[in-house]
Amino acid sequence: MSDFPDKTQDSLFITAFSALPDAACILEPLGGADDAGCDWRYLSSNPAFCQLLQVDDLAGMSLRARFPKVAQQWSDHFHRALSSKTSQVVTQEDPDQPRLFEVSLTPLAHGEYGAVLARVRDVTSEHLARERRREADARYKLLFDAIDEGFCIIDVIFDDKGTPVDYRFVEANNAFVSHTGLIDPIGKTMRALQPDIEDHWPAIYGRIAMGGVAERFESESSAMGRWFDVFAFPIGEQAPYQLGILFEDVGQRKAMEMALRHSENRLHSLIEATSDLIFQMNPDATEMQQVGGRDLLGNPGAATNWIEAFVLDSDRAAVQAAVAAAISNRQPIEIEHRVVTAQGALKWLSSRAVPVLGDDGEIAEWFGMAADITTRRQVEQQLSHGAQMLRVASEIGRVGLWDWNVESGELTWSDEHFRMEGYEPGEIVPTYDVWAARLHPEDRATTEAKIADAMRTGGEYLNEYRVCQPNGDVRWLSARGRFLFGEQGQAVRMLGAIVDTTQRRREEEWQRLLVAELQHRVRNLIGMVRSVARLSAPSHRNVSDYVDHLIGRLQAMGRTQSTLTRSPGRSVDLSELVREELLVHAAQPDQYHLDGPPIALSPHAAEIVTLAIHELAANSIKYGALGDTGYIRIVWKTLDRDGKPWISLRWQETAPPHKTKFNRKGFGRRLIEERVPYELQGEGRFEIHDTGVLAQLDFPLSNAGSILETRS
Amino acid sequence: MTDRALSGCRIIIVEDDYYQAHDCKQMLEQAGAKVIAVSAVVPDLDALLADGRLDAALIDINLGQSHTFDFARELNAKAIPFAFLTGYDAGILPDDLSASTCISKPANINRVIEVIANIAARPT
Repeated sequence: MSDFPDKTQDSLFITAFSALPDAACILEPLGGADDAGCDWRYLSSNPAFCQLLQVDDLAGMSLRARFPKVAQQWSDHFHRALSSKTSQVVTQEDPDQPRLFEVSLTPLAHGEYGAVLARVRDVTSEHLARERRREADARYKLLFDAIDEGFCIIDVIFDDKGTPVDYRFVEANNAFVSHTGLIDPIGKTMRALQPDIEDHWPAIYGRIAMGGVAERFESESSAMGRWFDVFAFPIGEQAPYQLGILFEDVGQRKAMEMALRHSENRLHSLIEATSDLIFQMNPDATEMQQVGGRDLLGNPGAATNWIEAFVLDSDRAAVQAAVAAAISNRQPIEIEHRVVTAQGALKWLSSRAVPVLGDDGEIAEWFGMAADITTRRQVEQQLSHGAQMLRVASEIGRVGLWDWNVESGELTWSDEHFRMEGYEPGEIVPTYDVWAARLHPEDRATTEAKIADAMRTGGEYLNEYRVCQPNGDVRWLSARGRFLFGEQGQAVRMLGAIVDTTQRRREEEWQRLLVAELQHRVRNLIGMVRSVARLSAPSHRNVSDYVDHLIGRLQAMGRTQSTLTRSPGRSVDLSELVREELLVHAAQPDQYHLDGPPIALSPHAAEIVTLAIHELAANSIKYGALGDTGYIRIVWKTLDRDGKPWISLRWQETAPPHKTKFNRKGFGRRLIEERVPYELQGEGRFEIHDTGVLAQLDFPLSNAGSILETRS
Repeated sequence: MTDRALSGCRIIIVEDDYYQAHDCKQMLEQAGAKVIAVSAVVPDLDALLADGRLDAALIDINLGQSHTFDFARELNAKAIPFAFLTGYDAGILPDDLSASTCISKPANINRVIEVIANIAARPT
């Protein structure tokens, strides 16, 4: 023990030293501070020290003498503490016992070489505890590394104003890397690893670090390109807490969720866009509840018996039948029907619903949608109206229509077009070849050239051509059409209309023939009048007689024509003809007798017979029975000559003999005797007997025409 | 001079109208022609030729029941000259006969004689 300058102070320190809970002793070197192999002497040791080492007070004892193993073990440490003039902490095992000491060596100024204060703490149990904790940590670490989730422990970093700005990773498990993509994070801050990390991450962690309340959340880091499901909890005793973060990269799940949501949104948009009303119905489809879409029925609220409430009376039975059929077949309901809305408006709906089947296979409910098709229906109706009008108009007007899709070759004909080609409507599938097959061979080249021309120039196709029908009929058709062209100027369609001009053409031809015939007849008539005039001339010395005769003959010819125009059958009844001639000559009914079967004379024969009766009657007035008290029998009969029907007409007068003076070969006699054989290929007799004139005309019955009738 | 215009000419007339046929016959005979036949129907040409040559024929087209185009062709085939005397226009002639001489009714008799004189195969 060395001297203390101040006894009072000394005793104070000694008391404090003795009272130290830690084991402590003070040692001074013996023989110089540099001597590493020197011995050390205890200057003092406190009661705790003595208790720890189970010794009495060691003051004044040599370390080497008292504890040789310790001296060897500790000498260097003491020297180092002394020479470095700094405190040293050394942990050493007790050389004799399984104990571990932690020794704090503090150099003290003392004498020439100084001294060392050694505070000895038995850290055996502490060390054991640390070892155990380390093992536990290792086990936890193993556990953390074994889990699939990422785990880390962070310290949140606050700025001067206490705002959380960053965080540092204290611990991280193996999965951390795969969940974050951040490599070797421990000891680094988040911003060092991911400078553009969003501010909300430190904000959330700062809140937990300060508030001490664990949070669970999902959040996206677009900087990292990941979605995280995070559970962050405070660790430690007080704020700011460390945070344990258990997390998972849920990007893939999130992407699927997003895709699903997107697709649901799209589906929803689609439903909203395409239908006007979305509804649910009970299993028997009577109660309907609108679940989305427009307020179409004016009453989207409560479930209603929609068939009763909205469906038009006249459509109700059909709708009920359709619904019943769908229910029994478990098939979707698909109907178009009319409804009367709550506001009283009439609408057409297209309603569709699918059955949703329960686990038991029975219909649990119906899900469906209804679209307002009122406008479409109206357009359809107008279209069908228009189409019907077109069809009726084309049927009535006998107009054939065609629509030729040049690109696909598809050809559409109206019913009339089929008939014009000699087909029953719809009998065949029309094609260009089918059409061309019935073209008259002589018209084919021209027709095809005209079509090609119209296709090339875009001009109107105008053509009149013949079609040969299978029954041998040849029809004239007048076609008018036009090509429609595509964007590249290529012909895509050809539309057109056809009328049958066969009858018009026939009439035109007929008219042409008639005009030619009329011209022929008029010229003939003039020729005949000229001949009649010339032939009448020799029999009269007196001009007025001549004129009378001529006019009489021309009038007789005129009468034939009148009779002919009156009788549409183009034949003349013989009896009527004779009666009229006699009437013209003022013959009284008691002066003649007619007898014969009904005979229809050809116009040509009628003309000659009329003229013959005229001549005979005129002569009779002048010389015979009609001019006196005589009597005329006019009889006729038909007979068969060489298999052909002939007529034999006889004119027999009974008159006073003195009156008969008619033997010249005058106009009438020549008519009967020469013209009848010449023109009618028959026979004519004209004889004057004592009793009067006997004339007989025999000729074959034929149907040759008159001068105003067309002879073929 | 017309009486000599057709002298010696042997002619047939085919005309369905008696009066006109009669007229023509009279006129042509006055012009010196010898009218071999007057017929309202198509005559048997071979039978006529059997009785002697024919120098010319004057034929109507329309004979009421028939026309004379085939007869005209027969005449052409036998190189017997002919003229149509008709109320029709020449346009009615079929193509193969369109070159035929055609006299329109009513015809001036001098015109008929002149035409016949021109076409007739005159005996040398």
